[in-house]
Amino acid sequence: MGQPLLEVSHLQTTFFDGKQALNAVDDVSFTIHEGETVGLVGESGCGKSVTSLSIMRLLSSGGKIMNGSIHFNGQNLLALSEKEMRNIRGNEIAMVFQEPMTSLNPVYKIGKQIDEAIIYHNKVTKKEARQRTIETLKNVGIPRAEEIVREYPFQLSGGMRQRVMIAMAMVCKPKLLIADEPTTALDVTIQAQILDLMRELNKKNGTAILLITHDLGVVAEMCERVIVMYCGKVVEETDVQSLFAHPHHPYTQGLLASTPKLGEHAERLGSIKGNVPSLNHLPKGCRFAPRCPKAMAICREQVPALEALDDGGLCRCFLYQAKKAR
Amino acid sequence: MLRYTIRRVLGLIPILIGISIFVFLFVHLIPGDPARLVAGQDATVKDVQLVRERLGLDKPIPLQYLTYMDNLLHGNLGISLKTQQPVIHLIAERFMPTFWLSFFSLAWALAAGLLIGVVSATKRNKWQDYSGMFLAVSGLSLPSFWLGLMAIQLFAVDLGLLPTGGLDSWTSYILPSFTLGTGIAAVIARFTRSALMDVLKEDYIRTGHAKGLPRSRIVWGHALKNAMIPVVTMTGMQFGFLLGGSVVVETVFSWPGLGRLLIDSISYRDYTVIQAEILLFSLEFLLINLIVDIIYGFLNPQIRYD
Amino acid sequence: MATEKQIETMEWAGTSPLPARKSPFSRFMKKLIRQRLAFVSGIGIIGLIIIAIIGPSIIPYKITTVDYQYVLQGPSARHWLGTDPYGRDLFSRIIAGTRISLSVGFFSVLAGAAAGTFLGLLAGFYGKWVDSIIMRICDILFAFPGMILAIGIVAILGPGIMNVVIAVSIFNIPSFARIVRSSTLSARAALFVEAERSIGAKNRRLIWRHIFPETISTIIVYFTMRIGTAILAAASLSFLGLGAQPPSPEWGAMLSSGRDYLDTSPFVTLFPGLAIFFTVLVFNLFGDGLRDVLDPKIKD
Repeated sequence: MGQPLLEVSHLQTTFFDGKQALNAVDDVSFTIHEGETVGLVGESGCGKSVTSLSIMRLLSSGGKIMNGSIHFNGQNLLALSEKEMRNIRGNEIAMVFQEPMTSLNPVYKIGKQIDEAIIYHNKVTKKEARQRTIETLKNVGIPRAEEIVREYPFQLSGGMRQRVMIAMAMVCKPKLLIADEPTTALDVTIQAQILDLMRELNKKNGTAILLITHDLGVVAEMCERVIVMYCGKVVEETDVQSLFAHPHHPYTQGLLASTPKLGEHAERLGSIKGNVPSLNHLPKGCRFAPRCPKAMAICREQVPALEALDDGGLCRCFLYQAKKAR
Repeated sequence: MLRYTIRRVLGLIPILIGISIFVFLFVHLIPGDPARLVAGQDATVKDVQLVRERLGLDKPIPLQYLTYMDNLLHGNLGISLKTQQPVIHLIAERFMPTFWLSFFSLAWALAAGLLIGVVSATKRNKWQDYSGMFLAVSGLSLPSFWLGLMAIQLFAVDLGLLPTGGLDSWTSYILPSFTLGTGIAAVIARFTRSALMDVLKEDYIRTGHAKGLPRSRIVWGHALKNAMIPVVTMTGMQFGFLLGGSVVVETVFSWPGLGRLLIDSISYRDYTVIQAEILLFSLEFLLINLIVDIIYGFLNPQIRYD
Repeated sequence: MATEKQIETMEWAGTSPLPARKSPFSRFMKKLIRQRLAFVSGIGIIGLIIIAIIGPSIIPYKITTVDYQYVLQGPSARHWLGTDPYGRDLFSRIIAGTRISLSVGFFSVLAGAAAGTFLGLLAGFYGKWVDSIIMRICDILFAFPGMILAIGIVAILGPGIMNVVIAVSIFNIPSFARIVRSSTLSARAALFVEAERSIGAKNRRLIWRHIFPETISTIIVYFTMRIGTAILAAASLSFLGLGAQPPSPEWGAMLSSGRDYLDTSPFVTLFPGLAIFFTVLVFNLFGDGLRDVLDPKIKD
């Protein structure tokens, strides 16, 4: 494991909706090391995307980072000016989004959209930029790259567009790639190709990856460490082997039970009862308590802390804290 | 792109025929005997009869229409009842002043409208937005003839900077173009604002930010190029407003153009000129919309590559 | 680590609705413009209607009283807005003109809206050849620029305020027909119409009981928005000498007769123009507000 690359600590991001202030990300801390692949897992609406957009400082209007710090390479991103932050975006930290169909500008040619990222971050001529664009497109497995640069997004398939998005993200050789559900919108066969590509880029360039997904199968295939989020809070953090071998938090157990496993013929997939509560109707006590099969009296009264477990993982649950106290 | 253009042109044919029928019927819809109108009020019954035969007004209406169309296709728009000159000559000498007036008005309208629209959309719900939109709704509510007269009073009479009317030099264009373009600038500003605000919600705008592009580049490049697609279409439709407005503005500024010719012809009851002018204005409107459709195709790669 | 400072982030106009910080000035402007303005313009319209109804009976001077001792006088205590080239009181004439402009605007849009709505309902409900014929005629009417069409109609019918009403209503027909047609199509697609038809309801009943009510809010919004334009068009035609004729106190005609005295007595053109501007402005602002409330589709 290398040096710490990204250290998020006590991050709190709030959305203001009229007079309401909703904490979409609430006291979240984690670290990503150089070259590491970390999964950020949870159902939709649990604050995964807001966490990643907070790191990029790209919140949609109404969102504000209220608290905490985000250190990247020892530099606090939250203390940078907007201009300094622009030099980080796309250059040191890059991002790939879920929707390849709508994430590319429909009226610009592919080549121009990638050249742009190079030109804004490097002192290069247009010609040099174009050369690098073609090279990068080839690296992400795009055939006929010289022709593709002169085409428009609507002329490409979804999988090709996601490759273009990845090329665009990788073209400045970032140290960290944030991939927000990069394969969710794609066909299964294409999904595997895109994941292979990301793993290869991780190996070859040493790019650290923060992979945001709701799919534990993807996590198992890609990640070394996993962070599980629920309602804006981290509920469990552990390495990938222990997560699948013995998940601790009842929410993680629920997620695992609802994931089909290869080779096992499950009679019935488990599911977690109920829905993710909306941020303005959060329950008192543990946020998962109303859906938790193992909820105790204390869970409905107090919020458990995120505490270290014996195997080195972290878990936010009274079950283990009670055991330890005993 | 070629297929698209051909389809647009072919789509115009039924409308063109419709227009020609309406315009042809124009003279027949005027209460009274068309031959009497042409011959004049003092003409004898015999003269009227002669005119009727000469113009073929005694023939059945469908045959008259075919004759009218035949003349039209040969560039014969008839003879002016007042000046006895071919209408086509009258129109030809008035055409360029109106063309350039429309051109400069549109240029001013696009410059002002796009600027206000973009500023309003990017400073949404801030004072710039409110001021811009208040300016726009005011521009929409201003009577152009009043705006023109007030502009003459201020810039020509009081300050003596610009001519009060007529067409003598390039400075003559400033006030009429400003007056004619203001209403359309207001419409373009409002429309650009809403189109741009829609585009700024798109995912590819977020991608642009994630690439580390400066905001100015994202707004004026990525966002505006997309927003221009609906704005261009809307501007084409506003061109009818411009042609109609030119009649009023040319009257205010004593402009030697087609609009004033139309108003003069109405007061002289010069029906052949009125008829030709209405035809010309609608053809111009159709032509502009065809050009706009083609520009739309160019802006939208999905159509260009069809 | 926990500090109270707020970190500025790059905002893009994404999903989450409201912006966070506002200066007191923009908050003030927001209230003024968003809620108050539509409200104030609504009151302005009511005020104009009251003036139109009772105005002519409370004005200080008869609008036809010619007084050659007071020709082209500037505003004074005796004549609040001055006098015209015939010594007539401008204030009284502008008040009296309110009725003309308001009724011309209202009735021309009403007639155009009624005819357009009827055609739009027919085209949208019956579809097929009915739809094709109506829409082709609308296409042709649309191919004439609005003012040119109106001028052509006045050229046929002759100048006069009634003919202006007819001309302006005709150029309102195709736009209402198109709008009503498209909301009719979506209303027809809704399930309840199918259900009603299956229990044997008559077409006429379907149109008036089910489809028309669905389109009414669109019609009201568009109606309000068109009145300002119609008043403007009618005033323009009168200014060109095609509409109301002197000595009518129609604002456009008054302005036209004052333009010869622009350099010496600009108030003769200034005040009628302001009257047109404010009348059209309140209708446009009210239409905008109404659209935001009633027709969320167009809401930004």
